[in-house]
Amino acid sequence: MKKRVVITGVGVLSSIGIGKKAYWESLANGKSGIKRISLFDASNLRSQIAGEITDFIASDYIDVKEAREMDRACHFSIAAAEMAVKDANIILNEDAGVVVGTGLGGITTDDAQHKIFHTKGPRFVHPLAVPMAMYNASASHISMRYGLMGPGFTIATACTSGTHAIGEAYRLIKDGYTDVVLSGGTDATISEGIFSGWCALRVLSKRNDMPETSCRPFSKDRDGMVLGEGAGFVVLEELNNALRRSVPIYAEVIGYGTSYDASHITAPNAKGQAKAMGIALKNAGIHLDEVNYINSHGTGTALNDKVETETIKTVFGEKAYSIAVSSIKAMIGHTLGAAGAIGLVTCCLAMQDNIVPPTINYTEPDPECDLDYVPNNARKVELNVVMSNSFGFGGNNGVLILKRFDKEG
Amino acid sequence: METFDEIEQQVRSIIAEELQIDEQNIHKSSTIEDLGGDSLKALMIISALEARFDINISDEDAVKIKSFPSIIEVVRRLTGK
Repeated sequence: MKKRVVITGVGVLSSIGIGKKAYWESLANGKSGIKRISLFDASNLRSQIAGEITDFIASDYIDVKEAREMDRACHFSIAAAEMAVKDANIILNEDAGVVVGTGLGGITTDDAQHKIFHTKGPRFVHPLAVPMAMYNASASHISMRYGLMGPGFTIATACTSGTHAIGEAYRLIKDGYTDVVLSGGTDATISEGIFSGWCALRVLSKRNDMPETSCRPFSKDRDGMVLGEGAGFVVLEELNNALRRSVPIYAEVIGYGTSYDASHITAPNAKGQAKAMGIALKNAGIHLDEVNYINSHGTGTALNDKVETETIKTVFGEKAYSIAVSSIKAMIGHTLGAAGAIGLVTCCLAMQDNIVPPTINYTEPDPECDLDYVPNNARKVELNVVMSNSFGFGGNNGVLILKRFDKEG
Repeated sequence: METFDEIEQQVRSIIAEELQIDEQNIHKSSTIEDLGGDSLKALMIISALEARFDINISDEDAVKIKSFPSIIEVVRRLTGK
């Protein structure tokens, strides 16, 4: 007998707010967190803007001495995980698991240590460079912090990491491996080396003089994505475990789908994306008509938004035109491995208030993107079933489906 | 027999290097696609051109870079050669 899985806690860290309250208030009001980069000197780069978090103090969450031995992405994940645990009002026991997604792990450490190696020499490289930079550092620190000895691992599927992490965590509970999993995604990639790589790939917006209106998903004048950073976490719980504790339930996770495009290392592919969506819908056992909202991948590149629109139309047919579809990346940028997790937290908050966040900076309709993108202003929508998409580099697709909790199922 | 001037020859060697093909296969009418490349390979050629000729190729020019003649046009204009 498969178990039912519900979300009882959320935590989020983003350029428009730390914590669910601040984040949701900014998001519902269409506030942009995109600004000129301050983490390093970007003045010589093609793109000089990002969804940088400027008000986060790691020592608010982590002992100063410990924080010094962790990458920024790890700081983010610990903070967001802590918020989710508090929100769920749960005392985690050693059977609980932890599954974390990250696109680039400790890349800030990696970048900095390479620079030291090349400028000062090998003797000056940090003795903890390896455990700081490794992709699984976040999950391991979280497991140690809460004494979690249950199932867990780290997933690195680029921009889909967060969605895959929560999807796999959902499966762990559904299949009876454990009753509670702390799961989410994190990335802190606004670091000069790798950021230069994004610039060379020519996919970033160049609206350097208008950061707040730079990222324009689905709008005809979109000129690329904007990088963001942050983390999103949820507490996933087996239904009876949550009912025993008598805690509020944000939503039930009812569907998860994953697929490969098997076509190109960076370009998206509608057939591969539709496959993930189809698997998630089948897994959820719902009718297409039941989906009220799609939290899109919506990066703001010419190709992504066009292909994602095509995918939604392929899967939903005519029904696609009556679903609200929006992109939070217009406001917080693309947080890579955190994106799917922050997207899912967004879905939980949206369901709680029956409010769909807007796609801001939408100025001009694109004939190739002709769905309802909830342009510029949030909207009141009765939400019962919502879908969250992630379509990453490497052709990695992930789709999660949530349903408003109903004890009868 | 096609003849290539100095700039053309340098561009030819960059394309050959980036696409890992024999220089002899690159003709004045070749497109990157003909030579087995795609948009990502074009980006690699663009980066190599920027480094070799010490030029900055804008996104507007970058999207034009699809063939040998389009590369030559951009390089000549930006280097003034």
